[in-house]
Amino acid sequence: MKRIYLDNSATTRVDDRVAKTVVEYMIEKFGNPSSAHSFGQEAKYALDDSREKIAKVINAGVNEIYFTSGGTESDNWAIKGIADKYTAHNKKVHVITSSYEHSAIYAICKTYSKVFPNLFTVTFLSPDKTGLISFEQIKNEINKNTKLVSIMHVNNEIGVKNDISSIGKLCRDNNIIFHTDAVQSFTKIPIDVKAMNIDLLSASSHKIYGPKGVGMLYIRKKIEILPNQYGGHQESGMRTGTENIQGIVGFAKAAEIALNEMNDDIPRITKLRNKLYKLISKGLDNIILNSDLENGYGGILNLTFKGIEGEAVLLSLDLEGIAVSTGSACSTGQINPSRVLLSIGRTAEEAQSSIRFSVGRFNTDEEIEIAAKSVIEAVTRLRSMMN
Amino acid sequence: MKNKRVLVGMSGGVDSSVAAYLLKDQGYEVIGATMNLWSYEEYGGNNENEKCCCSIEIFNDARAIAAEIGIPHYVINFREEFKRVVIDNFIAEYMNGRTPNPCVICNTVIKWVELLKKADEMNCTYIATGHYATIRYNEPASLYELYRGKDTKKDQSYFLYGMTQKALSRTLFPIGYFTKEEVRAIAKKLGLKTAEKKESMEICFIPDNDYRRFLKENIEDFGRLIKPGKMLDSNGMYLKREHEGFPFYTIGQRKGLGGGFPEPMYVKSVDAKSNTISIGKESELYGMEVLVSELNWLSGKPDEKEKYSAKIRFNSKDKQCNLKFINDNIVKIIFDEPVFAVTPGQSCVIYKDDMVIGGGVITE
Repeated sequence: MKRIYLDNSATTRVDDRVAKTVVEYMIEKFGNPSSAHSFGQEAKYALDDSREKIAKVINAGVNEIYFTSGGTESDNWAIKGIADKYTAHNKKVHVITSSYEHSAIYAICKTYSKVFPNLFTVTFLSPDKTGLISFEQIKNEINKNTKLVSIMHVNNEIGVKNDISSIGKLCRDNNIIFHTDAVQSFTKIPIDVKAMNIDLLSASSHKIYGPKGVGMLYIRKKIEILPNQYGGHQESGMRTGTENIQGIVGFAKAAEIALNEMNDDIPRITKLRNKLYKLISKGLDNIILNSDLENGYGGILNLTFKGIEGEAVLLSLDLEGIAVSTGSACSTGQINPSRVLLSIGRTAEEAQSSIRFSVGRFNTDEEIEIAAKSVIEAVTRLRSMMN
Repeated sequence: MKNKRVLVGMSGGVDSSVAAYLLKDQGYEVIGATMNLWSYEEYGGNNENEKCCCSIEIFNDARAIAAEIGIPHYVINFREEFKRVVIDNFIAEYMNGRTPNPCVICNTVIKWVELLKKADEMNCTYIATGHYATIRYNEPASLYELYRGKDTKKDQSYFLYGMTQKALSRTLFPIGYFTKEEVRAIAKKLGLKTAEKKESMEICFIPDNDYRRFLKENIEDFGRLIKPGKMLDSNGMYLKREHEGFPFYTIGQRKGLGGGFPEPMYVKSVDAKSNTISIGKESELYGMEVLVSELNWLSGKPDEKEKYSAKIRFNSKDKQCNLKFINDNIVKIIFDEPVFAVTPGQSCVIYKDDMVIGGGVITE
């Protein structure tokens, strides 16, 4: 069975050009960047070069990029590294974030408010009816202890894009550190950390056709943050341990390709996404569009198929070889209605009836046509069973 | 167009693993499903050393087996339904002084209603499980019939009497035609990782087998609701000793009554209303008649003129009997010889030779 992958927001297939580089740095240029000999030099050069490539994507300085194991580590570090500066000295720290952040932000904030009930407080903002966190909402929650605001750039479930530029300005004006989880937008939507007043930014390799297990945290030079890992001198002593060179060069190669091809890739992906929506909405009634086709990220299409369970659609499609996501069910079958879908006005039942399609670089017109046909068939069949 | 797609309930154990393999071997398009029914976080029970149902290890085991066989596998969440249908009933029955049969309800409702719905959603013609039982189609009568499994020691047809014709028509029991030894041998030959796995006999959501602990932890206000109470002897006389609370006793139980009786004593009846239990000698616990309600007849109502056999608990042999209908909803089972410890809440299942006629829940 030929399979069709429409879950590119979960992870992506590694680009062949990236895979080639990764292998090269595993079997040929496998040195430790800390070694003085030629093997080490090769690796050190690759490390520096990679840092430069990543920095370029977001207009950051080379020494503002810190490689990590991925989005989760970067998100965790951003919160812990700031919060610990205060809690360690018995000082209060207030964090403003949203209720729909990745669990790497959500869980660390929940944990810290339990561990430091008197010192660490957190405000979880609910998105408005358009799925966005507004400038005003944040402004209203700022108090004298507010040290950090963390708001994601593109939401992973419906693809809406927060106005991080305005939020960044607000934070800078109030002397508050601004972190954004840009895992879904990095190399897909232009980001300029200087112009947007971003202090901390998380990105991940495997969402951009790079290998898993590597990501980065951008830390603006002026920001004081505690190290995430202690040991040697690597990553300026902030995140120590022998560097994951093959991962890092793979990540950088993926970022370089994505940046160079952004102007071709993203319009093509957006066109495919729009085509998918057009075909499905032509073939089916009673669907609700949860994504913003105008202003959101072009690769994500979230739809509610009224009257049936999203999980049933997912399983039916999977049996046809088509991979999509419900955005709420995990591999052990846990189901909770999505917070972002509830906030944009879906009922709990509608939220459970939703499917996220995420289109990527390797999808084709033909795949979109086959997928749309299968979706229409599956939904029609499932609905007929309900009557 | 009828496909031959079948959804197999996979527990990660040897029986359902072999069931999935056999169906694949027979040419079905097999899909594995493991039901997520409950969790330790919700209901407690120490499970540090044992792999048990609905733990992450079980899902991983089932997934690994599915991969070895070469079939897709999904975990399906039925926690809400399981709580509503099985656990709440389990608690309510004990609190009414009865001894419930959660596996019967789980089969009837969770597997052959809810899982069947999932099978429909996935466009499956059949569902299958690793039960030791068989189904045959009786052509002249145009009815499906349920029979004991070939391995009479392992036969699980007792738990399946609540099935409907529709459920029977869409169910496959591939290991019903094998003995446990044969099933293990198949698993071993295939190198399935669960071949040597030990049998799980207890109630799945009480992995430590301590239902008293389960009740204490999962009933709100248990300490206030359940108090020690009086014990009565065979003559209705109060004994000097107290019992620990009526839900902790089940009919036929010998342990936990305190020693010092001239001969072994057993729980004879449990009365929730007055919080009393009556005890008696073994001979006093035999009865000839059992009243059964909540009836289900698999392939038609039995004939009062015919001879049947019935078993009043899973772990006992069926005994010859006659049936007398009190009305459509209640039947009286009259045994040829006395049966021990008739226990309200347990299922009574009626057989004609190896065929399951149906059954219901014992009321007295």
